[in-house]
Amino acid sequence: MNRQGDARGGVVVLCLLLGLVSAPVRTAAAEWPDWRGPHHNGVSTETGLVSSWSPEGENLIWKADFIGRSTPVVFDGRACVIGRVGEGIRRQERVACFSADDGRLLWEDRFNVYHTTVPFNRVGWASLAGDPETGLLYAHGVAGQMIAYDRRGAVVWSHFLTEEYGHLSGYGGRTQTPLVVGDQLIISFVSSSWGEEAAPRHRTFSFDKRSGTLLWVSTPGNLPYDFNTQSAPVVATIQGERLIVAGNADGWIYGLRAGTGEKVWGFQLGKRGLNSTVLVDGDRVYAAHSEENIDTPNMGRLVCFSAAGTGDLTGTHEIWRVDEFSDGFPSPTLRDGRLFAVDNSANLYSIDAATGRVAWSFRLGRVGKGSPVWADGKIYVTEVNGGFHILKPGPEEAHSLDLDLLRMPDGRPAEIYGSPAVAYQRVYFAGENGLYCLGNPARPFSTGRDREKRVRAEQGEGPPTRVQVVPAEALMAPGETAPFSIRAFDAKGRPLPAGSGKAVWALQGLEGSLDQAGRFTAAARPAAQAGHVEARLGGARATARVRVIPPLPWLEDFERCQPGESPASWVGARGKFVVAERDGGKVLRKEPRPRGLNRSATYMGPPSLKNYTIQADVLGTRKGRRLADIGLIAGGYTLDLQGAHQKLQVRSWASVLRMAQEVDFAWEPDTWYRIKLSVSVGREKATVSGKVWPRDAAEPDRWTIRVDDPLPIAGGSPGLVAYTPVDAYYDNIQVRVNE
Amino acid sequence: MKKLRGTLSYCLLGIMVMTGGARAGETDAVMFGHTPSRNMATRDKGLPATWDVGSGLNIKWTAELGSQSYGGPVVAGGKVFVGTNNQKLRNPKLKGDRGNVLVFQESDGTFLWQAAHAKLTAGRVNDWPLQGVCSTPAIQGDRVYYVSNRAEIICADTEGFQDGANDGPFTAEDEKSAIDEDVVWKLDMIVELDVFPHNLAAGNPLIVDDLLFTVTGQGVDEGHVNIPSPLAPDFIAVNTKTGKLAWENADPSPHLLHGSWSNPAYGVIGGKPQVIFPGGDGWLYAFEPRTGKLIWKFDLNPKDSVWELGGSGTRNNVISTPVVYHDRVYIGVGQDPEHGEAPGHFWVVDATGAGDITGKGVVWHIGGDAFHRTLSTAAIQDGLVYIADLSGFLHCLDAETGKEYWKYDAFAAVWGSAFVADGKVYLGDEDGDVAVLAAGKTMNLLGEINMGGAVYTTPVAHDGTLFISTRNKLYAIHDGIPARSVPASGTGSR
Repeated sequence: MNRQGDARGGVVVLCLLLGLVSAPVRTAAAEWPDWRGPHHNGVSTETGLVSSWSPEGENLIWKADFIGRSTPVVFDGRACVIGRVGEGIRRQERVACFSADDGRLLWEDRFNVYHTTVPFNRVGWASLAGDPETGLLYAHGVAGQMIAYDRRGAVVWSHFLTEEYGHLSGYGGRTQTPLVVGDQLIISFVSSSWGEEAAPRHRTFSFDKRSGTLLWVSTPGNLPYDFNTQSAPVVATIQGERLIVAGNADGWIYGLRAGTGEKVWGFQLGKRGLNSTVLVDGDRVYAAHSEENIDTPNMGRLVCFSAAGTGDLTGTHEIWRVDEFSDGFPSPTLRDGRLFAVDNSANLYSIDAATGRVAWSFRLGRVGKGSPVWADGKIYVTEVNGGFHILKPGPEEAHSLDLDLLRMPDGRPAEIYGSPAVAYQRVYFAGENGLYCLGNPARPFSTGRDREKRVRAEQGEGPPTRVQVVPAEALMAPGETAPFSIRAFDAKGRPLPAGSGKAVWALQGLEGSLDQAGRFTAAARPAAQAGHVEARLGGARATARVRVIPPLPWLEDFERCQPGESPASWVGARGKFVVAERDGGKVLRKEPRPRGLNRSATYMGPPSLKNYTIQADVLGTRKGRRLADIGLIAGGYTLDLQGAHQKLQVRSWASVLRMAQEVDFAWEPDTWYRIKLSVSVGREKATVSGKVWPRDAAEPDRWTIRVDDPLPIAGGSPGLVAYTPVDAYYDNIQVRVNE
Repeated sequence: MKKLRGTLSYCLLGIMVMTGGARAGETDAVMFGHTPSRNMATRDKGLPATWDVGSGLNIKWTAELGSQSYGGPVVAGGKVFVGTNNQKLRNPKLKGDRGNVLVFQESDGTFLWQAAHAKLTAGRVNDWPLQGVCSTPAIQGDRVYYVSNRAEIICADTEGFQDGANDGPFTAEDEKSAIDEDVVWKLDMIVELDVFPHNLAAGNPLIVDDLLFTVTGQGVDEGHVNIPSPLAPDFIAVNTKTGKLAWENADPSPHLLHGSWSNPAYGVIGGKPQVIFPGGDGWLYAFEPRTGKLIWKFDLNPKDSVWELGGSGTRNNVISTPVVYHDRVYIGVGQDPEHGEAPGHFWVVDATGAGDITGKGVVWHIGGDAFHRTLSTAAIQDGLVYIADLSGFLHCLDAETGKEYWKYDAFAAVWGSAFVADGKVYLGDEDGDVAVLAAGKTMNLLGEINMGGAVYTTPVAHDGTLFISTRNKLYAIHDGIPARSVPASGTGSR
């Protein structure tokens, strides 16, 4: 299966969507298509659930082999989960769907993790999202893969968010869970790409859930303190308006119009990025964090605020708070006026939702990451060190109904980071040692598919006050024609019917032709472009971001560039890879960063490219004991010349080095070398070959390093990567299709 | 109902450096672990067995710290020194996230002066947000020494600018008011030695005579595999008077597992002095203190152990500080607490050997299910070893044989160490509880007192007063103080 998204494939007209965008799709309560349940609040209306079980067999209906760190989704008769699989060179991310009835494996997809520093045991941390309407299943991989699967496990669409949109991932591994809202698939992450989206921000992306076409991008916040966060978005109706509510990496919680991504309000909870998913009940939002507070010199807070407002609600809409309540990850749940929240030390609290008064606490263990679920008068909750609790919550205290401690074959506790899912009168959860289904084995399995009829979205009225150009971003080839369309909304963010006035189209910074139906044909000349397609409708204006990337071969000597510029169409280059003058010509310089990491990567083209060779002239400098690493990227693989280690290394996944190999290679600072990386991909393997030699010498016939990867990465953008505690330079970059 | 508990902050590193005690012993310097042997046990007397932070019972005074405090407390010269962050703003000119050392008057908690270092612009890979100064200062005479969040070794005047003088050679302080720090000299380990601290440089200086010893904080980069500065030193010795490098050693650098967050200890073994450095490679190294010449080394992990990124492996690095006791070294292994609980090891090594003494240098050892990963440093007194692990178990062991007399379960993560004095064992935990147990071969829990905030540090004592810092408050605790109303922190409606 092709794992690489190509934005060109998403350029379709979306008129069919208009009018349905913000419709809430309600699923039967019997299912659990979202990691926090059908109503995003950790509550199930299912009854007849188990009060005890045992890993040895009591009320254990089935257990499937799986290594999971996330919460399963259960819908459409399936229990689906994301996690990790394999050993050594075969370590991958894994999505699998099992029969919710008997645990039969229905299908699985294993895919590569690359261009990231996530360790293996944090792979598959974001939960999946299911869409009961279409049966589609959505996965957000730790390295930025966004994949939509159909019922049989075929990939309907995918994007590699890292190479297309500058998705940032890191060692922390915290990854956002996707959310289905009407016809949209919502996913958020911190990104740094090109143009106005080069600055790192936590952005929310809306894709058409069926086609993967990008509908809008919302950037509600400021420069984040943390780049990997996990406060997943939820959707709720607040004051009659459908809003997406989520904690941001900048420490704020934002309410965005579900159809357009416009920011309605913000509430600053903490100074650091937020990882706990908020709970919305009516107009009230319950949220928690365990880092620094904004107005007191202590850490951690559980807060309730009213979301009935607009703008900055921070100082005006708080209802109550509990300070030094350190709930960094778990999302609370709410039932009968009582909030149930778990702190980092795995204490479960019962709290009066009206006042914030703590009624009782119950010690679950030592480390709390999973979120509690209320169902059938009981609370189901996990603890990281293998604990699965079933509790009976009372007004004054909780009674333990059951506690099971799960262990690995070697006797150590099996980690559980995910939360329970309740569906079909059963309880499902995943841990390091399997996917579990608990229930009464005597009760026949039934999916009870009494799905509610879909409600049509409220139509807007009056003049358009906000428009969007769709696709919101496109990657095209010279001479290619792509149709853009316009979506119009009224002042309340409600969609207006197609044909609500005539749009006026224009180009910004792009060469080519644009007709007044929104069809853009990029100029045929073989040069990269980056700019915008603009549409105006009434007093409203919107743009789509467009990059035009010529087909291979490429040659970039930077002589036509201005010093101080970064190549405009490269993802992740701005301010990091900068044109400079050296030795009488123009080159590309990567300097030590005044702020942030000295290691950066940039991607130059579409992720669909494969079977090509990239070559560049490179030079590293030296200061004291500091030396640079200078490298190239091709087809998902990296080759770099390492200064301090005096090595040449091939790799795909820097923190795991799954298929990596290295050879000693002595090289001098302040000397130009020529480095070449070639990747050939077949069905059974990818062959990754690299060589390096002094620029002024003849090219050696033999490759310096050569690796066969039995789990080939299907393709990927050409790019550069460099670690620069001192200056490093590139020149004469060539990318050619393999002969 | 139990009071609200503390948090496992996403603190990658503050842990590494927790705490300090203050009691001059073999040297005129006071430091983390009281003396150069780093033993967390002292001969203090008359310490309180009970107190109440709510009513003020036996609370002599309280001082506000930043929001996270992992350095100290340490008491010397009538002052208490604490490493913390800048969230309790003391100097309005020095706003934002900084690494602070706060200095209080020992008698009444009056705030005297502070250091407030800006963060490194590289961000968390070198200087984790909001974790402040994690180094526990060492004090020798009128000089205080610590490692800043910027990986500088700082020598400062214990009087700050309150003595009216700007002591040098360094005189270019940006702020020189009465509450600011008077730096005497500083050694920037990043600029001058090309060190790459992983997440935070956090060494607790060891001072013996005119030499200061510390780990540099060397570690991997943000990808957690590549070692970006493999030629830079892990261990250094610096002249305390001049700030000049005496010697350096980079043996562990090419083999670092994660970071270097342990601390050196010192002892005279068979008449010959040794400085004992735990490396970021999981080995223990002993050197001649004056020359840096290697005497012996010992691998703290079994040879079949495996380091796995993210914490699931069996090979560990070292965060615990070694304790020198009767020609032996007592030390445990562990990892960043974010990597989770897992089997660990606690070693007792015969320090009289030479060369690679792995295996043959073992006096006794416990590990596996019997001893989990630890960040804690041992307290050894009257033939008994008190050592906690991250899972919250406090072990009382025979110092000669390793026989376990008892094990106390705090039911919460422990990042600091047990402090033993006056026949009592004090142990703080992440839930904010301080357990007070009777020292001895029989377990006897005297009380469990909640401090209202996580205790990641180790209690210390001086002149009958116990000093305990929670994440954001410093308490001076002394018998005989009646209950009274004390200000409560926060605005919560618990």
